[in-house]
Amino acid sequence: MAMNAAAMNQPSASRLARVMARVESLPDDLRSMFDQSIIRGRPKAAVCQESQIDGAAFDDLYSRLMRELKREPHARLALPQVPRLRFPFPPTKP
Amino acid sequence: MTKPSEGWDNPVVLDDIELYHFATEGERKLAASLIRSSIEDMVLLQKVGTAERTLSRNVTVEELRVSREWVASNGGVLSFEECCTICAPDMDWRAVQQAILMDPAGALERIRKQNSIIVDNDVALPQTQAEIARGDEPITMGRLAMGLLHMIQGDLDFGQEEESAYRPMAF
Repeated sequence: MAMNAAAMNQPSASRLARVMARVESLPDDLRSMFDQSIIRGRPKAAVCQESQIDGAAFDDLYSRLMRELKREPHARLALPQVPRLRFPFPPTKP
Repeated sequence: MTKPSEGWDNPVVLDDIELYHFATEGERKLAASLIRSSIEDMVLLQKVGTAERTLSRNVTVEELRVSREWVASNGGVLSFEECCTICAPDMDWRAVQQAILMDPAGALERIRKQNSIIVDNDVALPQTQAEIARGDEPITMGRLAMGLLHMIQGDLDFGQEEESAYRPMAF
């Protein structure tokens, strides 16, 4: 991993890598929210000012960000990645 | 806890200051935020179910169910168990999980009404507009952890002296 901060222990590094992998796939507004609020630790007022949003919009974005991080990794995929295999024999009664 | 995951080999491009901040504060803010938002979503889901509340345009019932599923399945990119461990290493996460699933409104009340003075490296969560409008104190990771601990262990187990000695975030 390309992380070298002395303060970062292995569990934290693992968690950060997983979370960052997910965050990178999120829309720009959610990625920006994660970066500013979680990574940089900026307070809500500063984030609102920089992003030109009001407090309610911040709450909405923050809630969406949390839900996306809670979602199962492949839950958003609409189609299976591999073709489904059919049952080899038609199910017939004996 | 540190099982291999999809992100293990993912290069993380952050400078040392950002890494230090995540390790010392950001991770705890994230863990506590995930737990708090789950409880809030579950309470809202209950209220929508009983027609006590209606949903705003940008939220659906399916979205709210993501939070309940996260708590129940202990899955996701950062699991409920990990979040509990980050907030309070000695907390019985399974008991907390059951308590939240059984009574999310009670859990939310515990967190909001938690008045313990515990300040070791505590991290404040962003205050929502609703909390500001009600004049609530900001929810911190320590208050959230202590509220959940009280919920699973009961108030009788925590005398005033014991409370100040037991600091779940002091690690």
